[in-house]
Amino acid sequence: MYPHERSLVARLKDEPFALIGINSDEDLEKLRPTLEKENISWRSFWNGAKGTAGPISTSWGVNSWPTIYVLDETGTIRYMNVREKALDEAVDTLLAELKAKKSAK
Amino acid sequence: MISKAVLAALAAAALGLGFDGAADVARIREEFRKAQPEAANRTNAALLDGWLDSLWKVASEAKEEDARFATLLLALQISDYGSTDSAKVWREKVRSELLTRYCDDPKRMADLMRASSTADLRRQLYERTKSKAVKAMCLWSEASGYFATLRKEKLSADTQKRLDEIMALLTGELADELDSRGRRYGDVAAGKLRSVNDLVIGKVAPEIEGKDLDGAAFKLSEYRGKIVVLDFWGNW
Repeated sequence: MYPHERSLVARLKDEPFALIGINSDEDLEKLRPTLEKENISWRSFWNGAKGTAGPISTSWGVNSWPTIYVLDETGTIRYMNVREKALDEAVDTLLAELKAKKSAK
Repeated sequence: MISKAVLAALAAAALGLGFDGAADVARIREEFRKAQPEAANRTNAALLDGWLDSLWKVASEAKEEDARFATLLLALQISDYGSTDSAKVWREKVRSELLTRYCDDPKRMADLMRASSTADLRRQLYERTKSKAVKAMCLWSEASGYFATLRKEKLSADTQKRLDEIMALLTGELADELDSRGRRYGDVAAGKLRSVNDLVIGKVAPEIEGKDLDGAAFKLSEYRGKIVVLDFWGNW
């Protein structure tokens, strides 16, 4: 998944777009080398030391990883669990919508 | 497949204990693993009874509870796998022994559910146990099955009513019981309900407040005005 996320973030760096992670690693110190090696530059909430049993994923009822939600500019959920090409298309569709709304104003 | 729970329990039991019969259990586990792909072995009474006899003997004479429990768990999986009449008799005998000894032990009962999660075993356990944590586990396991169905189709009116009752118990009088990973069932159940009812296309995502990987506090709502991909991930 990392290469795809990386290219998405790089491609849309000048757009009104953000990739926000909710990371469920139990041990952040063990994760740090991977952040560096994989060049994971996007911001993540940390789900805490209980890992996948942490508070954010529990309150969202997440029990499979990765789980993905795509939100529009109002915070409304527009797509769920899209991956790879479908994820790109979802984001591009929402960005195009947002541009159309802005230019209509 | 021998479940991970059984393997973990066996590994724990074998750790430095060298319990009486450990070699027999290891041998049977290996033979069972190899025999599983052959459908004919499901009906091979001599093979199944031989294993189950040996395991029963080891379990009966075990001095360590971990060893006894792990041995019984393997016996249960073998009897679940067998389709002979005597395998059925064994299944009831092994279940009964497991429930008699351990029905109030949440950790071992979580292993049991992972090893053999059938509706009737769950019902027996629920009736038998005095532990509220074990009762909550049984209910959550039942509810999870209904939620899996719900992803594909609507539930019958009776099943939906049962699910509502379970969720009311888990978010009510059983809310403070903890699951095997230390989560309150009240939180687990509320999260599941929220994901089904509110985390759906067309609804506004709830706020997330927390800290990033460097310890800095931030909120999801800071990103209003942008298209956001929320990615629940982990490096494993």
